[in-house]
Amino acid sequence: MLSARNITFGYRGHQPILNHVTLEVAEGGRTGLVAPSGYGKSTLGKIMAGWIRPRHGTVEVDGKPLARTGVCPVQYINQNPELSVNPRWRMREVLVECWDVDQETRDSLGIEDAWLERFPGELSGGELQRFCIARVLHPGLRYLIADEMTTMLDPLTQAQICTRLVALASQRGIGLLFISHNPALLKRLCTTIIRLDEINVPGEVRVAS
Amino acid sequence: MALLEVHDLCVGFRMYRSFYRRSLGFAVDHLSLSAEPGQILGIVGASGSGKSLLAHAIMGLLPHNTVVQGEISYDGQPITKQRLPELRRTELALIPQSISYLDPLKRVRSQLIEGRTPDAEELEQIAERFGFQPGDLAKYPFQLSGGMARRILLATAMLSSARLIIADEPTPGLPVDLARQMLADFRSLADEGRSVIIISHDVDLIAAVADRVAILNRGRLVGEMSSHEFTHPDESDTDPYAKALWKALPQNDFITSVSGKADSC
Repeated sequence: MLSARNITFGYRGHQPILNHVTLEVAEGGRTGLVAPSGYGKSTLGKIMAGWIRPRHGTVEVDGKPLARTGVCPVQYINQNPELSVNPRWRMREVLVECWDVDQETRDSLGIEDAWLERFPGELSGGELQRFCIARVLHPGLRYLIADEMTTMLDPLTQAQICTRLVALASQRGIGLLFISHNPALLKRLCTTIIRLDEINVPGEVRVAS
Repeated sequence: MALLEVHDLCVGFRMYRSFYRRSLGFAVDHLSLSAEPGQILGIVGASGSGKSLLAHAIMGLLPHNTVVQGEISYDGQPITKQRLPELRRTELALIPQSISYLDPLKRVRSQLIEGRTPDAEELEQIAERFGFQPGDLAKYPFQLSGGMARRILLATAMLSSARLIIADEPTPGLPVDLARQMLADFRSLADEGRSVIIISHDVDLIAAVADRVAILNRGRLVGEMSSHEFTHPDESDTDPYAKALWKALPQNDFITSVSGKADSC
């Protein structure tokens, strides 16, 4: 169970945008998170992956706080793959930044060998996003937060990447949190859908199965 | 008469494989299309199909290692290097895909209109029209959410007097109602007699607003059709790729391959 309890967070000098938010993702579960733009969906995702520290509240995996060293069991993928990779590295280096990605993962995400010698600027967004997904699928990964992961992609690529990721995740028991604006997509992919604007009030607890 | 005509356009990249070896790959391949004033042309296709390259070729923004062949003409005259700076300033507007096109060191209110910062009254109107809080326009780009930064990019083109507006992926990251409102804004721009090209893979939104839809696959034009033909692929004999693109939508069949076979989810 990945649980964020009582999270309160505001950017420096501003009112909190997240106010006592509690959200849980079950092991192997598929939860969708929706809210209008600017409601703090991405911020909550980044907090749950340990990218930023909340003012109050805790993020725990099976009752233990996130590891500060080594591979974090919770990883975050955002909607701008072109900003998530080092522009001066070849894709070969980007791919193995975290772990030695095996052939099976590469094949299942449809990463072609011909792309490995290119620089990020020579690949399209959909091609780059496949690398971003492959490199976080470390054996130690338990939960993946996919923040608008496929909004930059065409429907065909979106369908391919999502079904492949869901298949990989259910095979390995990885819990998924999909953050999206697309209700139809979340309905396809998730077992539970949570509205952040509904849970972002003091004291309320939602449990996702 | 067409405002913009692209004839037999090829865009290739010179890539260095080692110190001596160079290779040339074409990402846009013999592409011809035209944009009419008062109409919205939607350009859809997979990522990597050359949609953005087309936009950047029209605007003359391609990096130095590209090779461009073919002809692009605006208002009946070829776009030349000499004409381009003036056209870009007055006639053409691009809404780029990545929010990294905003200047990270300038407040967004100074980036809305070319060359000047609007006064307080104008800012208030702009904030209202594009759905910002009054304070948002005084922020720096990194302080805005992805959706808000995108709306700033959109506002820059809409506030210009350009007659040809090219929007490269204007809608991702926007909630559906806001995306629809943005597309309605494009519609009213077209109704003013401007020509709008929307490049996107939000094919459902595009099909709802565009007059015609052009479908690209791997740098080639696989079909150009009316929106109705695109959204009702079974009624007419459309290209299999165009068909698959429409049926892959999560609200349609969510298929994952062109032949129509679905992976189980």
